[in-house]
Amino acid sequence: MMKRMIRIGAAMFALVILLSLCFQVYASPDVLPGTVVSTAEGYLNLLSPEQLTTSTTNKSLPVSALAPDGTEVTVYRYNISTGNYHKIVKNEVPLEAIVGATSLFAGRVDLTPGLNKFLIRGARDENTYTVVPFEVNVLNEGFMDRIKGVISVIFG
Amino acid sequence: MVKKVMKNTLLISLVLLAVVLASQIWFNSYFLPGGYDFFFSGIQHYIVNPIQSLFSQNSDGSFSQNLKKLYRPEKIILNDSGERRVLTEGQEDYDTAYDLANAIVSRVLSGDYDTQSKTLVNMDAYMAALKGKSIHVDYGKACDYRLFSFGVCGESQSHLSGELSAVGGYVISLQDSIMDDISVYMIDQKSGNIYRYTVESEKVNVGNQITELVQKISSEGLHSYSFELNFHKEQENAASKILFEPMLLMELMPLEANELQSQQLAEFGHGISEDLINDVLRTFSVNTRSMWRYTEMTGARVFVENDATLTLHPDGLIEYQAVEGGRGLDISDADTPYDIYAATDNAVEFVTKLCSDMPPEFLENLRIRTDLLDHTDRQGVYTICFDYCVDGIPVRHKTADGYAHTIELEIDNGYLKSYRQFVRSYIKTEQKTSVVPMLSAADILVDSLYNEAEPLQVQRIHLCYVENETGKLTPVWNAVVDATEHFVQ
Repeated sequence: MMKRMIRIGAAMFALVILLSLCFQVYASPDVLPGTVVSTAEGYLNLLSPEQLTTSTTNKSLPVSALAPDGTEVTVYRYNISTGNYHKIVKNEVPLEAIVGATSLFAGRVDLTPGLNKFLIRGARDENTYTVVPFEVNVLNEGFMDRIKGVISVIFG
Repeated sequence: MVKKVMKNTLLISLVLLAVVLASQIWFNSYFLPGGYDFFFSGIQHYIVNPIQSLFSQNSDGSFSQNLKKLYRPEKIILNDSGERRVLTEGQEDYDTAYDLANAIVSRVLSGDYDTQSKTLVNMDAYMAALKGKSIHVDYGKACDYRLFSFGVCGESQSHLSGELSAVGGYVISLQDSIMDDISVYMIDQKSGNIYRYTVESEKVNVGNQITELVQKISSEGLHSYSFELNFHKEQENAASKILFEPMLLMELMPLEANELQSQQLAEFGHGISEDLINDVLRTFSVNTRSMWRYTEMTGARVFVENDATLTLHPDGLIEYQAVEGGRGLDISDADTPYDIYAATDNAVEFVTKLCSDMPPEFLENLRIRTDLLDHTDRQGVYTICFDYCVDGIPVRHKTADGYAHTIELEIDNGYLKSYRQFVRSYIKTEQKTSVVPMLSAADILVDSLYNEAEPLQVQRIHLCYVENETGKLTPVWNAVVDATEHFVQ
């Protein structure tokens, strides 16, 4: 009787393990190589920033994208020391979301002085994804003020 | 002998019956409405109250003061080098930020500041101002410029009256010049023109105050304007299902808010108090001598006079309705052509007067929630709505006809045609409830409304509490999509 119970328990355990494999959830990788390229087109359109290279004096930047319903969108920051893109995590929450019926994704990234390189990835699954790299140059406010001063002197 | 006893018994019975019936008529019928309270409330209202009001500090105040209390910004958005803080009523620094912004704009309106320049600018310049160091004061509704000016600086006419006819807020920008100048941007809601007024001011001082406030306020939430995310325009290479107004501030993170518990006022607790009834009747100018009244099966007290019906429901709902074709209650003394300015004046005065007889927290939490604009579809007819707000979040009441405002009044050329008010108060419970991010609410809207023809146009979206039968209130998203209101949980 005891043996039979153990057999049934083992069979149930094996079944649970097999079922869990079937329902395994796809998650975007934490790190992407610096040379990563798209494997498919159409899974992401970057809305903001509009240009792939921009300048600002602000300490943060809004990021938004249009992607098909069900696409997982993740934002990565380039790490110069590793040469890779790392998933942005703020307050233990990664900057990623599965796009809903609106097809819209929105977030905000913090900026550091100098050049900031990012990559946004829209993935249908781990092998089918579109990536868009973009970079933001953070200028010193004093520098911008000097430019404004020159402009105001020239144009009155 | 027996006959005499029977006669006496019959006579005594008749006398007793007469006394009982007469007392019923005197004290419980229309002969003396309110029973003995008639004498006491009469003395209270016509003798004691007028004497007390002579010595009371708590007077109704002027229209300007009342308007200032009832018409306040929905949001104040501070921006310092891309760090953004959004303040709503109930937050600790809301009043500080409001006073700072109001002091600047009232001096611009009144002409106290030396105006360096006045320029017509495009939307790009306005958007650029919002991205830089700035204070954006958003009232969340369009307002006739005279009313706006009156609420801000106490004067309905100013040197900006010529170009501005309706405004919904303003932006104070500190980034346009390296000189000691501040720019104030205002959009005229009717013409769409955007004006920039550059004034000489203490820019460094104001800038420091903004920085201090931004550093002090904790960075809860994540906010971006719709235009920053390009959610306001259609894309060339992909079809949009939903578009948002460019100035709509998107909340990108899940929120948490306290649940509320509805409380009935003590005046409605055990039958509606006679004092409150008399106060309401007096405000609606119902003559207690000539009115006709009855009590419905539900306990609602109904008063009928002068082609209008006033109903006080036991659950705290007050309804006034003029009969079809009737003029209603005259609440105006204006001889001039009736416009939104006079209508708002009358509405504010009427609501203030009625609510001053209720617990003070009721009036303190009331806010005007509708646009205050002249329109041409029905000349002189205006519907003005007020909501009870908790921490800046309005409370709406679920009814058979939809989601009602706390107060809705319709005025037709100075005559009150209809009035409806939910008289309840609300307390914040310790229970917190999470609210889905704004984009998730938009997903639900697309799922239910999008028909693959045209993208949905979201004009407004904000949180509100909805009161249901249980008396427990949780926050939901209230969106105006293609000019129709929707509630998303």
